[in-house]
Amino acid sequence: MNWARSCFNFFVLIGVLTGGVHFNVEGESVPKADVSAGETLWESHIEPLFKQNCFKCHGGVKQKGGLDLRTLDSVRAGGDNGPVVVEGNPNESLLFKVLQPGADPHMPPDEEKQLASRELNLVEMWIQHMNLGEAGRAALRSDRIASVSNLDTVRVLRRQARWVPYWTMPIADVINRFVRMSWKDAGNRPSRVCDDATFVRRVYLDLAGRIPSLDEATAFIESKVVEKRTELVESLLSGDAYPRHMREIFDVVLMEERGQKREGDRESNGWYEYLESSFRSNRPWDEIVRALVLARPAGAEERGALWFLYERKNNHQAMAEAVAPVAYGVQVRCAQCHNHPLASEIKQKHYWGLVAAFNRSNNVETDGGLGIEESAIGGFVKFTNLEKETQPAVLAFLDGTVIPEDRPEADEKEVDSSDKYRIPPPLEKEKPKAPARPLFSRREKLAEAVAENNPLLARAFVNRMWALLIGRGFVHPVDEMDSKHPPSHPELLDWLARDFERSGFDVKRLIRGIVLSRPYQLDSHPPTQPAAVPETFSYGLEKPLSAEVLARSILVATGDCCSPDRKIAEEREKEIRRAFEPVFPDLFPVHYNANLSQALFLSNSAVLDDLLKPRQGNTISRLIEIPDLKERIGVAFWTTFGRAPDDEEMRESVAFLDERESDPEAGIRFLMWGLLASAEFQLNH
Amino acid sequence: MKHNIQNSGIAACNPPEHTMHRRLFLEGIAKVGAASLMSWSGLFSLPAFAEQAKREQKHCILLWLCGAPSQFETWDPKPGRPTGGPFRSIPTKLPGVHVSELMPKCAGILDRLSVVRSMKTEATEHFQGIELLNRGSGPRPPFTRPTLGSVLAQQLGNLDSPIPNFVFLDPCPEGNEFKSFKAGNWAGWLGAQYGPVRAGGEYQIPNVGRLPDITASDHEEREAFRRFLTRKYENERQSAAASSQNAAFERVKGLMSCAPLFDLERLPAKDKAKYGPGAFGMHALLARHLVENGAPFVMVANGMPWDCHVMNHEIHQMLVPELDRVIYHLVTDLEERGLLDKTLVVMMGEFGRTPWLNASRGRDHYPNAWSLAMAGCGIQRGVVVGATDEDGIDVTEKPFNEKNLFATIFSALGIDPYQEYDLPNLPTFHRVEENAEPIREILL
Repeated sequence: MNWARSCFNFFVLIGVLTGGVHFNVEGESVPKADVSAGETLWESHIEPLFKQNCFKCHGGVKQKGGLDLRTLDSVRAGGDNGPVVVEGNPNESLLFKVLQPGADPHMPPDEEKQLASRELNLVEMWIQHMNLGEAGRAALRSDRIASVSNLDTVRVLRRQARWVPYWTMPIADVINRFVRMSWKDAGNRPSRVCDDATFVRRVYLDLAGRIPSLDEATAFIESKVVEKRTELVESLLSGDAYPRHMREIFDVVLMEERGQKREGDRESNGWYEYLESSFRSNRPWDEIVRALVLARPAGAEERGALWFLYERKNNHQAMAEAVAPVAYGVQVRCAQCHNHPLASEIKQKHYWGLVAAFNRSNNVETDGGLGIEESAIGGFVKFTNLEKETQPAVLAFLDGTVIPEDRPEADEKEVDSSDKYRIPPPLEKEKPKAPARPLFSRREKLAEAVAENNPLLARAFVNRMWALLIGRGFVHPVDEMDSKHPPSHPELLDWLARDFERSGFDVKRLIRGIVLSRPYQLDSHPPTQPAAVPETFSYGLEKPLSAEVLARSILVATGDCCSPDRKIAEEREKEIRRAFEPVFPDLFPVHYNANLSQALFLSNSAVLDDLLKPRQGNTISRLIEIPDLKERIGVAFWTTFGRAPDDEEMRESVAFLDERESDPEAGIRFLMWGLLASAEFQLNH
Repeated sequence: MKHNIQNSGIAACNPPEHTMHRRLFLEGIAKVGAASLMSWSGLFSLPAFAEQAKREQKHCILLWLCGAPSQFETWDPKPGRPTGGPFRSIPTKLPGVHVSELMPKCAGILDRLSVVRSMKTEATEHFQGIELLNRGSGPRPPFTRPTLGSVLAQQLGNLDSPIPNFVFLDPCPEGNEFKSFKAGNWAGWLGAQYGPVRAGGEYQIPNVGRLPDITASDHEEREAFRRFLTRKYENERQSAAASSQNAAFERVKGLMSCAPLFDLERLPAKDKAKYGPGAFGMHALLARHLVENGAPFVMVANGMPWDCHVMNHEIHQMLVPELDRVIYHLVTDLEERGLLDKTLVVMMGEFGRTPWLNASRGRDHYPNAWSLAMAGCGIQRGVVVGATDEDGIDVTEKPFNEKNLFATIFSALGIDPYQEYDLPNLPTFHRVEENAEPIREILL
């Protein structure tokens, strides 16, 4: 991008940020088209209503009578017997007539499912207001293209040139501007910026995967350095805990199944080491994803990249399903049997296109260790939809890329020969020296398509990182970045994604930008009652601690992590972590709900009970030593919650300990249990 | 459906509708049909409804005879035929009906049971058969249909109940194909809250017992302190997460209080002598005990012992008398306690066994013609339906498959068998597909 152009873009952005005037590519100002009541109603009420009542037969899976009710355009297109709506005239509209009680035919077909009269009124109103002139409609379409598909959004937003070159403004400032603008538009009042005690706990949990120790927290709170939050973030990003924490997170993101069973293989095959070293050295994300899809590690240090595919043991569908959320931010499982029922851009061919990219690949043992070979022939599968129509799977991917490939004729038998290979497979059934590698490699093509010129790669990562740190993605749930889940802040998501791309997929840069921004640092007490919806990002959102983070934090709070022998400390940590893993949540639950087994575990597990027994140097034994009751309580609160108790808490705690005056050890043990098992400890807030 | 409240017809109710007269509210429910069961939990909070619900609580016990027992050595003997095996048949309380001589006690109460002799299914291997007879329909990946127990837990159970809604009693950690089924997804698309709580033998509900180093009152006071802190947090931050934690801890007390119900040691010695010896009998007794205390669904299994590819007759000679004794006591005990009319007992495996013997004198898998039995809630007494030919090779009268069976079970328990699952992102599925008929001959 040349200088003149970037400066121009910058000014456009300022215009957008300050005035809210819309610019198009040429910089002309056009007034925002009036959105008609009909269009608005479609999005807010009619589409959800149809989704609930009609899509099963008139949606992505089936289109009975040739009628597809998923979009305004498809409604307008009508069914096999012609139009179903007469715009502006509900009483002439078949669609409206069949919804009436007692209509014949009646929709939905089950008479019991009569729409309520309120809902019928909505449909009536909507049809009345659909009648817009063609010019108005065209204007609307160009303005609202964002809702058609993600990729279109990306392209349109790019044309609108709202991106500021990354060297001109710190990311955090850009985030603040965009978010502040959205608060202003929606009339949200944000909460105040959180205090140092809250910040240090929050950022340790997010970047180090544990709460800070009492010493670490105190040092930060007492520090007089002006830029101490920036300084702390820098030191955490270069610390040892950061790569481990990121490895735990991305192990879950990339490999669905977790648990003890898998741990040994992942460890010994270098998977953990690959992830950790990648985050430690800040390896560019596109490079990581390319290596995972390609599965041809260049050297020993990249050996573990192989494991992403290798563990899936030649299950090509599992590979396709694992790549889609990382590369495109979507789940494709349902497209195995049919086009996505709601998000029309996710087709069955995309699912099978991804499968085809992997279905010439097989696990193999070579002289150089494990590898994944690829054949130069075969893998021409066909897939069948629910209407029993069959078509061949071609290399068509979700970003629109289609890789051309020669296909054999129906009755042609393909011949394999070594001239089709860069590294041919061995002639006999001997152990190969290296995995076979064809001249035309489907995996290589996919790796290129995913890692180069794929705008969704950066968007998916940015959305995930935002969700991880802020508590909710711009698109929620994180893995459903499709046309039915529009982002809450499309311009900001786009800006961050572009910045991430331009910076060379610099993960630490993105994280730094987010955690130093205002939305990240907001206090978690909602300033209004009831609280604004979470996607306003107007107060700090609570995040449940994953099993690993909770276990480690309890170790910090109980003072059990401090064996001078590192090996003993690590073993101990593993043992505790494994007790927590089956019970406590993974990452990104769409809805967090504490469950009975967690409550039972906290109440009655010997593991937690044991950590609360006095031992040389642990928290309980140190607390018992403190003679003054109030001071003892204060230290207990600081050690667990990272703050002092308020008056009410102090009163209750004193009363609680007073009742156990005869057995002070039991008193402080139970008090500590209450703190550790309470919501304030169990959540990152 | 409960968790889809915001999307369905009446659920999109505006605040004024919440204050609607209750009768109108009920009409509203009736209008949108049986699919909208969601508001019942609200109604249950009225004491009168709760009381009525308790009185009307229906139960189901599934004696899951995994591995598949032989119909010849149980409900459909063919004495004297080449396929019949060495055992004789004996007359029963029902004139003209005979069962295997290995089941003398059941013969004496056959007027209280119903037997289906014409099951005809398609799965020939255990892993398919176990899936089919537990879920009531063939697989349709990537969707996982809930098992019978999960459906009944949802339909008959109450999420706030201290007793788990789906108890699975199986002391055996092994069981070949059954072992992998056990590790799988029981609750399917209904969600994990309808999965089983497993108990029996080594299997304890984890962390349900209070630790020895803390007294009951300390346990309670400690919890009160936690609740104080969490409530405070919840109020100050309008925190749904904190509220869900408090709800979970509320249930801990209930479940801990009913933990003794699972303790075999506490069952009366006299009962243990009747049902025992043997784990299967003990757990059938435990199932009775749990049902007496309000459990909606209990499944009793013991690994996969019925798979007799070798020495079929010898093994059946050991297993059938135990089964005979267990069924007899379970049915008569439930009747004595006035529970049989509210409790459906189902006794079945995943298919039957071949009429012919293999080289190891075993009977192999046979889904073409097999038998099962039921008793109790919603089921006729003393009906034998369906028949096989003289050698038991094929069904000659009224073949029934797994869908007919599931329609029967749901009908017997007063549950709409054909209700559509109304869940987000799910294609059209029904509790029983294809409107399969129930086995009307045995339904009350």
